[in-house]
Amino acid sequence: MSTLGFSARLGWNTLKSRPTLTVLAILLITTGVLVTSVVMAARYVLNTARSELLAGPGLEIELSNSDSQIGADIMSRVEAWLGVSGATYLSPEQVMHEIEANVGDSLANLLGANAFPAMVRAHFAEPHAQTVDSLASIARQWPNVTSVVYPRNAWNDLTRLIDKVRRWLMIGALPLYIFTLILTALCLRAQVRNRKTTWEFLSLLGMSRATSLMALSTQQLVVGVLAGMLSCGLLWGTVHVSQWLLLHEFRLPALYFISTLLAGIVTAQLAGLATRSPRP
Amino acid sequence: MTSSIVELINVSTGFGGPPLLRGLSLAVSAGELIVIEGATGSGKTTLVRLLLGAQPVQTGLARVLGIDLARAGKSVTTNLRRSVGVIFQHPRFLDQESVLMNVAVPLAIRGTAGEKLRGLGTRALMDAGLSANARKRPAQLSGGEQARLQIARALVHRPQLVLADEPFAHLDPESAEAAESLLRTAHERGTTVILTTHRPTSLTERARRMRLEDGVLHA
Repeated sequence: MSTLGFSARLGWNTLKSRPTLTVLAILLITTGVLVTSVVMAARYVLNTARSELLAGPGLEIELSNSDSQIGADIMSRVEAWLGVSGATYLSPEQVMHEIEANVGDSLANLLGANAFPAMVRAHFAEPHAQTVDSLASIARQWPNVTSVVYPRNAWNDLTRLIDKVRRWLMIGALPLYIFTLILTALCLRAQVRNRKTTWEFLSLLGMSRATSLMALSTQQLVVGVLAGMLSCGLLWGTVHVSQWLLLHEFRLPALYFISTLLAGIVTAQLAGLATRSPRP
Repeated sequence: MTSSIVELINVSTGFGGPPLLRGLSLAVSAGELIVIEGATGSGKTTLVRLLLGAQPVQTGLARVLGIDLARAGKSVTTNLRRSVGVIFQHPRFLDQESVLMNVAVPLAIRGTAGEKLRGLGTRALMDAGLSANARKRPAQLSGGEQARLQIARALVHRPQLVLADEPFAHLDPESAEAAESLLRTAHERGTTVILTTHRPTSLTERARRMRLEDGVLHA
């Protein structure tokens, strides 16, 4: 057995010597990391939803005339606008067909005549409220434009919600994370202190400081990896439950899960600093 | 006297208050067997800790295996401890490891691994008559067996110096005799042994005897 193997076994045995403290440390780290991850993920999902709000339907410019030449003229003006990725002209028939496709019923039979206006739809690659607002206010002044429609209120609501989530992160999740970090540090420290006589006699037998630090790192690495994996699993579950509750499908990038795993490991190592001074 | 394994000249040590050991002078040559007798609380364990560099030298010169303990840094002290075999008054083991692993701890600490570690560990257990217990946990051994395991662990890396702090204190006469026999064999092979005890031992016959009283060492 190499020195590395010996220190790894020592760290593992330290975890096994007080399994309750090990489980407690894992659950504490999981709580802190998971709450922070969920709040950050919620912010990501809301940001994505806000972008999709304008990137999907975009901004609709309703025309007073269904002349395709007028539509082409408006399209070219819209496409020249900064931030616009493209524009589409929809005749009154296309508008009705699109609505019928969404509603799933024949509006022609219901309404008798097509009452929908022709429109030009602007699409944005990365929509910003200011860009869309300025296009809307200018477009309203163009000839043959009756109205401009876009989900400005929903955008405002989502922006307020994102600000609220940011506040939760600052006043709720981060203090909770720090609190769990401190409790975890106390758990790991208690676990090491509980084996004080073991550390002492190994030191008298010539165990170096580096070997004891490697043993402590093993203890913290195991706790961190387990807590990180548990956090990832619970985050995945939270995402799926949220999708089911909100009836809205969304995905978190793999980076979120990787960073959650790393957060667990880093948290355990940070908490482990409490075990290193004074020397166990 | 620089060829001495242990050299103490007018050494005092303590924890900041009155010194626990005062005016200690001792020279131990290679291959010697020293038995230091003393009542409980006379400073025997403090002396062993001093020789391991675990106790600060307040005054005087303390040199073990050529290392000046007052000036030695942590890494030097660690290396010194690796060259010494230690037997504690109360046996201490890695409870979750096997007897074989426990006897090989000094080797593992030095980085010995694999077959070499197992081979040397098994050999040490055979010498101590514990080879049948290699897979057991230390807690499954009797008091006498635990004492022999400690001695085997102290000898497994063939140290130049063995420090034994009352190794027979809690043993029945039969177990004490078996443990003494191991130390006697080590001494006959040339290992320097410093043994502290509060009761007579058969090792005393061939040893240089000293007496520790209230922190003062008498020849």
